[in-house]
Amino acid sequence: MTAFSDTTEADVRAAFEEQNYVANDDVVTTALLALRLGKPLLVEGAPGAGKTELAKVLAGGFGTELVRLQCYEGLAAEQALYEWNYTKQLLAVESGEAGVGGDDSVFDDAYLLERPLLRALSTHGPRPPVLLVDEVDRADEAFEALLLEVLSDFQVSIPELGTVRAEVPPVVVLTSNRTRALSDALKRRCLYLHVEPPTFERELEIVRRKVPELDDDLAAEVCGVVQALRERPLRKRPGVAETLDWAEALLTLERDSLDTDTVRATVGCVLKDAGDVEGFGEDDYEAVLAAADAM
Amino acid sequence: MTVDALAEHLRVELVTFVARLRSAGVRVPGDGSLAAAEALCALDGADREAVRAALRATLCDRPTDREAFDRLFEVFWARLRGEDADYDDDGAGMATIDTDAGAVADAPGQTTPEEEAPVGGATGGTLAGGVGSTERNAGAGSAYSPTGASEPVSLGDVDDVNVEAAVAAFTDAVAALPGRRWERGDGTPDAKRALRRSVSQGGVPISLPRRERERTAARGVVLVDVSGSVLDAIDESVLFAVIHAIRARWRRTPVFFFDTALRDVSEAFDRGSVAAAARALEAARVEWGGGTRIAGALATLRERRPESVDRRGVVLVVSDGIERGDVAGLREQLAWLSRRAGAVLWLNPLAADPRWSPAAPGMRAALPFLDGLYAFADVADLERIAASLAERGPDLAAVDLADRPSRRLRVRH
Repeated sequence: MTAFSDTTEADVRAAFEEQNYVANDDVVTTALLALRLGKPLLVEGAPGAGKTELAKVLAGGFGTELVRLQCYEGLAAEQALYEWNYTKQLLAVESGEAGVGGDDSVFDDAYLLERPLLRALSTHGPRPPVLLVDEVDRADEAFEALLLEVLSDFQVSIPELGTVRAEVPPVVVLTSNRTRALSDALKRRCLYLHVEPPTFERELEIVRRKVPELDDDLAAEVCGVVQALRERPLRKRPGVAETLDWAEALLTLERDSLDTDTVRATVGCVLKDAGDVEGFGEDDYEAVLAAADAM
Repeated sequence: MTVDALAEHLRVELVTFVARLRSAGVRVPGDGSLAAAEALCALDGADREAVRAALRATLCDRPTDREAFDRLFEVFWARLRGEDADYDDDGAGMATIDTDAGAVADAPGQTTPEEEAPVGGATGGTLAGGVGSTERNAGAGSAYSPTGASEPVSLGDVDDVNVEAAVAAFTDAVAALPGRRWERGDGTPDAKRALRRSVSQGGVPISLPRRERERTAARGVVLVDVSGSVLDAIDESVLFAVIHAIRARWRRTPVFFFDTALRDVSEAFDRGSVAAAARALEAARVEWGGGTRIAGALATLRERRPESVDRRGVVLVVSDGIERGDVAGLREQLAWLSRRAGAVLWLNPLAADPRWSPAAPGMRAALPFLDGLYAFADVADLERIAASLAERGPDLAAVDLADRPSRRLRVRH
């Protein structure tokens, strides 16, 4: 049994709706399975596709805490699990308030600094937190092995204190940009979801929800151009995040339609690679605008 | 049908589906069937798209497998509903390789100066390390001479070749290769760390720290032999598309063309499309199609761009190994490359032919310094390379002719 065993598809859809998260049916189904089965959810997809947002939406939609662990190269166990507050321990020992053993030991909860993994396991409440392990592909293999161990049993052993076991396992969402392949062992323990770029209609719906002040026709033009850009062999294809950035920028600039000059002036919102921008000529601007009109 | 019979029907079809996925090359976890069954039980109903999503979440963890998954799911769903549907006999619906080794023998101008080399080992005695048959130089035994004239790059209309899936799989496989640097892990004991830790704790016995080879993102350098002999054996559109995709996907990976000289063409492949890359090369008056001096090219790389090669990167060489320069020099340069790089992978377009053997002096000289040697003439080859790397790591299995299927050699007409 998990805390979300009784969750229904309608609950997930309602949570997404409440958080203005527009999702395909496969995202809803996979998220529902992750909640019901208590399995970690590994979400892969291009940057800006809404992977991190999914975890935030689950936490917000189900009214629970989001515990985020941002991964990076060199991330070690102490930054992910726990550390002892050495300064506090030293001061306590020097002042005679505590020692290294007995009832007043400095190896006590009061001197323990919880890091995200331990925090996610030790949180008490009616509903477990959502643990977001973001960009796990940036971390080293050694950390991946640690993660594997934690996610298998949802417990951590602290030699001086004992074993901390989650009363109710957290909802775990791992995201990856696929800059390196993750181990089969980790993937095997997870449900897998690859977030595809949205269709024109769905992206328009997202823009309407997230930037409601933007004129509807302009929003459609923005989405059309972004869709046309995704068809091109760019080094960094724009994600939904870029579409929303662009929509916000156009709103700020008080533009009410797209033309070549406007696209050229604001292309930095959607094309984030110097090579892509340099390789974009006058003909290309006109071509994507024409393609957007045709949608 | 009773409930039990329905459940049994579902179990049988699910297991069959998983088996078919595996046959199609989809990487299904060992306990995939069980995980899929659990996921199906957790669903409220039997909505087709919900079932598809549940099975995909449990059985398919690579975007590149999605097409095969979706194709086979249609059959699975039809069979589940009792409709008359069969999986293809090949299980995968994968493109089969045309087996016609005889096509090579029929191709015009099979001779190269390599045939004259007393190196032996070539199957059938007609292909000793290379095939150099083209209209461009048919009948001209000296066409691949070291002084063979280069010509400006001119591709005309570049064919639109979809290599994304293959390059994605290849990138994944390269990224998963163990590096040469050590990092903390579960591998062999780390004596230095053990000693340091023990000393810092006054010699108190400690748990034994261990280490393993680090794994990093795909990065490296691509060296492409654009001599006439290579260009005749590989589809330039595929070659350009693969380089373009690698340049986009790998981190900090310069691309060099070489024949009798070395040219950095990285910027051209940063253009938005393969056609744009070709246009950029044409505009830059980059030349290709001359003879080959691999050793000279590597020496230039070593002298002028040594930072391009480091132990965290993979050196990807696309070449037929037909060296017209100094073979001893080639050995020396490859030794440097091997010492400095994380791994040296050699993709040989000629190795796609069943009768190829590494008999060319340049290729034979290179072998001791290579981590991997593979046939590469088309996209399917790259997919095989990716699968092989992912499964076994780098190897020289291409040298073993007995293990290779008979293949049609690409010959330009």
